[in-house]
Amino acid sequence: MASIQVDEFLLALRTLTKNPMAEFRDGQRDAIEVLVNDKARVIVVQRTGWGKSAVYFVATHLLRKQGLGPTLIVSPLLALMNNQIDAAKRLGLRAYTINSVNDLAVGELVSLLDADDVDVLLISPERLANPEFSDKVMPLVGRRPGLIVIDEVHCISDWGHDFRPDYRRLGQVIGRLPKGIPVLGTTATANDKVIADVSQQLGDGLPVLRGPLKRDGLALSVLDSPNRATRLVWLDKNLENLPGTGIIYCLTQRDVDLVAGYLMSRGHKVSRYRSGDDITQEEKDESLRQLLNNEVKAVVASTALAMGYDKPDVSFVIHYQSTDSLVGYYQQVGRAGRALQSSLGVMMRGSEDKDIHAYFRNGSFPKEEVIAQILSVFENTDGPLSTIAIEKQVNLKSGAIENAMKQLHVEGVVDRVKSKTYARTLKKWVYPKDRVEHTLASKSRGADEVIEYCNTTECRMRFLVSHLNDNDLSSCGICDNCTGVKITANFTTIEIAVAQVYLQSGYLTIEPRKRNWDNKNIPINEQLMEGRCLSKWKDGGYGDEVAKGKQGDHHFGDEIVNAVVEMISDWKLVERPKWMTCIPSARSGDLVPNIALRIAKQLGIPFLQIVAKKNLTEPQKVMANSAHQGANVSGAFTINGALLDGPVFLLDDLVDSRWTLTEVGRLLRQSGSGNVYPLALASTQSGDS
Amino acid sequence: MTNDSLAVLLMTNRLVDVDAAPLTAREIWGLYDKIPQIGQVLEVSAHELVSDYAIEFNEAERIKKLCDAATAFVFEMKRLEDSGIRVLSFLDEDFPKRVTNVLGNKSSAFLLVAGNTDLLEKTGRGIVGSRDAGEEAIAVAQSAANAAIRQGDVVVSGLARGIDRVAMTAALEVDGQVVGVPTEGLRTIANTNEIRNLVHEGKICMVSPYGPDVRFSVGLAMGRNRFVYALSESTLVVVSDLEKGGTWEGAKEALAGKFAQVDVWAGDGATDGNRGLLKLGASAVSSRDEFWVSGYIPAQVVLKTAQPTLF
Repeated sequence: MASIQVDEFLLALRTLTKNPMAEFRDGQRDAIEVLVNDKARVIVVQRTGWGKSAVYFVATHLLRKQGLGPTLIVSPLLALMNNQIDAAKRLGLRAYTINSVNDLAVGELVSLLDADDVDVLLISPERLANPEFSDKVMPLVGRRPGLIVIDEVHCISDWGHDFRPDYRRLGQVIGRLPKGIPVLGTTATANDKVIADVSQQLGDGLPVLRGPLKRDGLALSVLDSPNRATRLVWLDKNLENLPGTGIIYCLTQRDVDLVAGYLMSRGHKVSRYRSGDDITQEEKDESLRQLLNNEVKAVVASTALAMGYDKPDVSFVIHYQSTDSLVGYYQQVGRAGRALQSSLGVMMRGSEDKDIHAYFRNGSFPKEEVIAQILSVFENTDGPLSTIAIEKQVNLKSGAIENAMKQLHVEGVVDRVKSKTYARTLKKWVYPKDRVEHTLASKSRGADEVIEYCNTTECRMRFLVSHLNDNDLSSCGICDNCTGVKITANFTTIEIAVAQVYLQSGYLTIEPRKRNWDNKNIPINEQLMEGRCLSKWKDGGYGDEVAKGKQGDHHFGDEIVNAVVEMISDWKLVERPKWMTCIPSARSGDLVPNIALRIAKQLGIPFLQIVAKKNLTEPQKVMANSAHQGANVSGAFTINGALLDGPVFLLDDLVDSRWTLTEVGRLLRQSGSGNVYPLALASTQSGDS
Repeated sequence: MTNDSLAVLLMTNRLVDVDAAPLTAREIWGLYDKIPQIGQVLEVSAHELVSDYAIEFNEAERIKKLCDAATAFVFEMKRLEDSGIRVLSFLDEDFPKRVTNVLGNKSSAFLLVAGNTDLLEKTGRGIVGSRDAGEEAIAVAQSAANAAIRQGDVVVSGLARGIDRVAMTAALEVDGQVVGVPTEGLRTIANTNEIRNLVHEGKICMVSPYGPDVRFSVGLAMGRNRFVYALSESTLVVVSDLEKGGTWEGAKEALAGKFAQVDVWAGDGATDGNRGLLKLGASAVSSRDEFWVSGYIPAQVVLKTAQPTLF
């Protein structure tokens, strides 16, 4: 095949960027040559911000001129693809993505592809497993050879810190393609072991182009501070003094809300970015936009904001909790200072980190018995099954079922035929016990490396990049170990108490259920009103007090009574409940009636103990899913005695599935009460880790 | 997978839509005769196909178009494989050699296979017959299946209702194994939990010349019959209509093409159709002690190159 004159590369770069002075950075030209002249495969290991998109956009431009098909870019983080799309469009490439949130319908994309009007198609790895995409789009994208780009290519290796099974499949496909189809794999975070595995999967003897991973001007430091509240105070006191704008990473969705909420309450301009059903795409997009335009000081984010976020002037990246791997840390802290002379990376280490890491690790692959239960439902049923149909037949949480189905889908054990409906495939499958254990062990080692990073007294940047097999031995000269200047968090107890109170007073909402456990609608006049819950079980604040009262003292203290009364007084109710009752429990004796009476007294309303248990049910906590919990309490209660007029507070100590409150609320309404406002001391619902 | 095998699959598959018609069985075999190292078509241009292999330009362009869809095809193939369905070309080691030996250029160049492929190496005994079978015929099919399993063979069945399923069930009941050639596509029949579970347990290997999602049709049912015969060293026709129906047509084709030994039940309850097949040259089996004993006609080698010598 005729080689393109090297100058044509530069010409392409300058045309695309509309900058007649543009020059390639180290390594960019080499990569383009492999792709465009040899139509071969190459892995590029370069730090974030190096300019990998210049490589694949210039290569796309040249390959399209030669008549090749569209470039397919597979990238793990869809929300941030818009950045890439915009960049491609600025370069005059016709770039599209397809996802549930924005842009194109499949039909539209199909006609564009049919007319060869697509230069670049960006997709997530999950999209490759989508039946509609596989049936309609992939055949058109792949009917001619075209460049394939695998962004974050380390994800195809299960040695990698964020191995993705969808990606492994992709690697296996590439490994089988005939010669002549150019493939570019890019990563900023891969050590030698991972790269060797990746290159073996993608085809033997693949060239690897490596650049230096050290990031000049990024000053790293570590703050050991076990207490959540103390770290909040540190953020409050220091945020405004930090240069520019940045990102504050938290491990859990709940910590994102806590940190963002606290900083807002203290007058800081911050926004939040995380996954979860209770945050809108608009809020997430708006958060990123605000950070991009420096309209907020910081975005408080979960790891959902990780790969692919392209903002050149992030001045600081602070971790409110430590990461569970060093490669993950490098990737996140690498968001900082791409185009700045100096930037900051602070890793805080809390006492809770270890437990959170272990929780995520253990939940990363569904348990064998969960999978076995689900597969036995398929064994006994013809045709596809919805997750709702499965839920009726197994005693598992719907979240656990969905998680397992996702995994089974990735493993090829089930096909997804439509949303939340799966068909068992012909694949014989046994639970990959060894693989799961191997992965858990490797993740656990990853977490240990973070501890070593926190404890090290040598140059932190050197320590970090040496874990990625960049053997640059020079010291950065600017980290806390190099300079000897440590970050400290010495505050007065009063200062810390403010944050502590904030941590304890996050009231939760009890949403009324609108459907019964058998999926029938509950008549509107028998539904609960929206209620309030004081805390999360063992949350470090009131949740700890509630646990102590229930499991230790068998008595709820006055501070809980006062907190509930305060919660009610903060609550903007359209009507004032006239009396109070509570859920009885054979197991807890008069624990609940006792505190209900004391709360009612402070509120100055009467308390009536008129709800009784007809039969002894299993504790709700052993019922794993909604259908089972609903059935367990159905018909278990009765009303003994006369009601008072008007709206009523209904108190229980713990709330989980809400079935008990829903059932008793219905009984009260049927017996003629006014609106029922549920109250609980702590929530044990595990919707959020 | 070798490049040779990939090339065959790219040129013949109907799994992905390409702006060029896939090669027919006759065409691919013809091309394979011309270019035994057929993977080369992936590496050369259309012009080289014309100059070096004397292929007409239109055909060369068609071949290149089919081969260009490698990315689309490999993705689809991988998707099937992940769900337990393998796509085998006649150059793959696990492809049942009998099929190409017997059917020659009538054989499709690829098959979809699910389940325990070891079963394809055992001696197969086909049991076929109409959907509506009487009690007598059912008993014959059952004892024929039992006899096959007793002598260490596998039963080859079309997995349709009637005689096919009776033979399958009878084989499984005595702990035997089955090679199934369903009329539906493999993903379609996977919806039946009974069949699916048997595939998982390694008791059935399913073979299909069709796309994974096709549904039953009379034409497909006819088309798959030859694979039942081709996968079997001998096949017993338990009950057939006379001069009509899939059983009759399939047996007639097998006899005419000399695919393999064709036995027909001639004992109690034999139909006019059965007697008609005897006239066409099928061997009579009149008692239940005589199953699978008639002389075996070795499969003829139709094409010299159909005997893969590449590995």
